[in-house]
Amino acid sequence: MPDPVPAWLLNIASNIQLAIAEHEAAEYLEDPEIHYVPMTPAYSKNIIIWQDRMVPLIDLNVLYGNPATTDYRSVIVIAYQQKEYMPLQYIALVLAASPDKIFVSDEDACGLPENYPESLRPCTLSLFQYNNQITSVIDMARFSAGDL
Amino acid sequence: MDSLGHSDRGIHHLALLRVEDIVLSFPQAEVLSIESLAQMDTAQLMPKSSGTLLYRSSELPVFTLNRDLALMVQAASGNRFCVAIKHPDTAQYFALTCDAVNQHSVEDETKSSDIPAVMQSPGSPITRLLKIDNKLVLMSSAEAMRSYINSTVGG
Repeated sequence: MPDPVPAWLLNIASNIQLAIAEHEAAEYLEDPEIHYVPMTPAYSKNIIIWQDRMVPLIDLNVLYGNPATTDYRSVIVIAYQQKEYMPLQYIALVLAASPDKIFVSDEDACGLPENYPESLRPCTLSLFQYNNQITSVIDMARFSAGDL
Repeated sequence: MDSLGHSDRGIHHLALLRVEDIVLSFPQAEVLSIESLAQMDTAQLMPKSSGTLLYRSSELPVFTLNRDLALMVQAASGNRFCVAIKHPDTAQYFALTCDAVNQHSVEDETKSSDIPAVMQSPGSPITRLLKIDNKLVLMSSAEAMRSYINSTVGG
């Protein structure tokens, strides 16, 4: 059986958690300055300026049917590639708390629950149980492509 | 001239219009005049306009946007200026109210970027994003803004 792999557990809300691979976490930010962009989707109405880049800030609460967050104190910047050998790109997620380091095993994997958000299904790579809660692994490249 | 506006050996001159807590930019070459809001006549030329501005012998419809880019019929309390904007079609000239207006020259166009795909929304008059001194500027153009206004007024 393969060894458990390290990952970052991202707490979006009490009922939403995601995991990303260790190497995908670019930086955890506390209380970043956010910049409003009008006429954008409800889940992505702000950007942050991080390391001289404009990075979209995503509120996954909206896609899960929760009210939009008003608390932007915890933000994680995530690196991804659209394709292998392409330059790194970045997206940021609003969190409810700082990320936790966890270890994930294949045996934790689980299936899609019926109430899983329709818009996230195409970009969900896998799901597993952690602390008795469904935890999603999202394909950030596909999510960032914008056809939600 | 390029997508950033008037180009002078790689320098792009922009007019920055502050509306509430957002900043819109237009190429400086598209700005016809900057007037005090007191110059605006409140007679409406078009639905959803706030009034009329006389530019030379033409009357231009004046539009007021809020931070969500919704058209407001009444000029907002923070508005101080009317900026007349030059559209390629003279019949489409228009003016926008704003709280403050100033010029900025950008040397390095790499500081602007496309709106990230995950944030794009059809019909938006924002064409690109630009950062100036760690602040965000929402880039637009006469054509993009007038097209947005026309579609909003028509709807």
